[in-house]
Amino acid sequence: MGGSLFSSLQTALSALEAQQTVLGVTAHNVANANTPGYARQQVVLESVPAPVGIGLGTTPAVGGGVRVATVQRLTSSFLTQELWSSQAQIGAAQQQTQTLGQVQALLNEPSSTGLSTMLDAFWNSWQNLANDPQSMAARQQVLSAGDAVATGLSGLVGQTTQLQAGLNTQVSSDVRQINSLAGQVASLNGQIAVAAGTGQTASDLEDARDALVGKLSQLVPLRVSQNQDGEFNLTIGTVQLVAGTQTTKLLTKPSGAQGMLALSWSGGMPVSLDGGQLGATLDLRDTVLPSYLGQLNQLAQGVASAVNTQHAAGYDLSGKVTGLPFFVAKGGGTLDASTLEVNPTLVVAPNKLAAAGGPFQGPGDGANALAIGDLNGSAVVAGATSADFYAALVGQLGSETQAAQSSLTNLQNLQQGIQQQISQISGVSLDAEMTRMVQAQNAYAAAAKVSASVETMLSALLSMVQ
Amino acid sequence: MRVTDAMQGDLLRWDLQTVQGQMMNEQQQLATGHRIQVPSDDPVGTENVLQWQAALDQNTQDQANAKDAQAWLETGQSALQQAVTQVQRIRTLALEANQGTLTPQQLQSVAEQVSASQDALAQAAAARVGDSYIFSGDQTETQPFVLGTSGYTYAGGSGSVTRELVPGVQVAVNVNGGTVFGPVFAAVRQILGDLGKGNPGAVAGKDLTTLDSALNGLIGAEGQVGGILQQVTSGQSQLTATGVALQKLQAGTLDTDVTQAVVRLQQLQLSYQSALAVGAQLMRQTLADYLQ
Repeated sequence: MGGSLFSSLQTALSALEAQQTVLGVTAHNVANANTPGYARQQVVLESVPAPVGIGLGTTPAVGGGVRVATVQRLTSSFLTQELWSSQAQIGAAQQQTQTLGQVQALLNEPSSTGLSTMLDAFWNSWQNLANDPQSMAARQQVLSAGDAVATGLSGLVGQTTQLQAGLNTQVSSDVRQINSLAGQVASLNGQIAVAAGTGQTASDLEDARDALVGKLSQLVPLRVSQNQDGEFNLTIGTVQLVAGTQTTKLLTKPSGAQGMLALSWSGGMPVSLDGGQLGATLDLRDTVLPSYLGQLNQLAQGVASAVNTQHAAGYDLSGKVTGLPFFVAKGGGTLDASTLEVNPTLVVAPNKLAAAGGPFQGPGDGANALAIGDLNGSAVVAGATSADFYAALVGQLGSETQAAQSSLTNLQNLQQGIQQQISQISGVSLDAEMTRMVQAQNAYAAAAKVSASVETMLSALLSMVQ
Repeated sequence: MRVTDAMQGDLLRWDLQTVQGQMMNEQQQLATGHRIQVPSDDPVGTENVLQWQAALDQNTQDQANAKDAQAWLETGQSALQQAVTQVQRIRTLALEANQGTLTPQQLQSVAEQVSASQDALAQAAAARVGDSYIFSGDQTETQPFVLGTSGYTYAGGSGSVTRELVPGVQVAVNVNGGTVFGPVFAAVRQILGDLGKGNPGAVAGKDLTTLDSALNGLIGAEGQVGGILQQVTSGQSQLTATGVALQKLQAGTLDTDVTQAVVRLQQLQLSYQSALAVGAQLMRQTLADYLQ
């Protein structure tokens, strides 16, 4: 063809079209400058080569202008994977921080209203009774201090159990969300594969899918791989949650006396989760909270059994050995922190409190009350005093919470770093877009100028013919 | 490095949030006066604070016990002093009775004075702390000496009343009325009997010897009570010192160092304001501002 005027017009047209595309993509980028998860797009232009073998030997062939090779989506799959794996850890740390923080709030220590103060007041009330064994006021004080300890402990256990039930509800909502997100990823996989098959760009679909996988990886730790059709396969443990357009569903089933939900795959495979919000929720529900509940029960049983033994050995105000326990289990069940209460027989008859030590000598004998008060300094719970045992429990909770909090802070810092790196590659820079816009504008104007001069040349040619 | 607008925005937001979080923490420390709000602020410190608090509560109770012991001992001491005075009065009366020139009416009057002192003795023996008779042993609700057909006899118990000063250390806070006052009343009974029989010689003789030995017992008991009172008083000052030391320990761990917290807060405010100022300048500008 060589360099005909008409072909120059064609070339100028291709430039106009290409620069329009550049401008369009720039507009798209600017519009999404603040869209979370948006990866900037870039028009890749290529020159149209001269047709081969058509030139007439003497005139060298001229290229045919410019065309849009592709619209590229700028991402780093390595960094995205890093982000997703950090998200699973953050999801776990957030759940731990939140739940342990709630337990801390329940214990309400150090304060003047926590269980430690109640325990101290309880032991001291016995010493007061020892000083004034015939005083009804001192007897009432012992009963109400005992009641404060019992209700304090059962309140703590009740609220912690509620927290556990709350986590159980969260397990079911997490599972619903995982199944729904997995379904959406599978459906996007299909659309992206179709787009790839027909040569279209699917950048915005890929952005959407990345965002979904991000949400998913906060809930469960995922391994993400991509097949040749551009579809994502998401694997948890050894099970493929999403394989192309297929999903495996997570199922929940109530189990045990408390109706705690157990997880299984729809194919019947066992579920193994190590991390993520769901993994942490399960761990908190099944291991961490039960451990604190167990320690509270240990405390209740240790204190109750020591006080009961000593109390049964004493003499009441009328000089009789009553053999009554001070603490009993509400409703006659197993004695633990949730059932602990002061023996109702004593509540209605405070003179039955065994303040006197045997053999009974008189109403001024407070030896047994003193012996009970002195249990304060005895190793009554797992080889420790009640105060030390409880302080250690609070200390342990503090350490665990602190560890979760600092790991959350570290992970958030790490994630912030990854986000910054991703933003370097995928983020929209308005300055860069403006520059590209001006370049496109100039190129467009120049191409238009070329068209205009070709047109002038053509008219000159035509006027020669006339 | 390629810098994007989202990066700048994110970074600014992140930095502001971090500083705000730190400022909130300092503010809370200043507002509550406590360095530890929740156990995770300082797990080891929390454990220590709880243990010290338990020791402090025990210390408060020990001090209350010691104060109670002090009340018993002081009441006992003053009652015994009164008793000694009365016995010495009876002793004088007994010597007067043997002057050999007394008419039966005069002897009768001496006997009445002795009897009055005896009533005063019984009153001293019935000293109480609150509702408890302190010389009745464990029978704290029973008056120790009541007048019967054979004079004043002991109606109290034999056990002693004790108080715990510190765990494991118990002191007796009373002396047994039967042991201490019993011989005194017996001697007085003898004196009254011999006076009634018109036998002043016996009164100033063997009766006085018996009374003197009973008086020695009374004085001995007074000394015993005084000794224990001293032990309690010195124990009390030791308990107070321990309490103060524990409070200091606890405050050192639990309380906010106000000066440091204020300085830290000011530093944080400075960096917060700088971040705001710089951020506001940077975020405003893009190339678009300069394009026509």
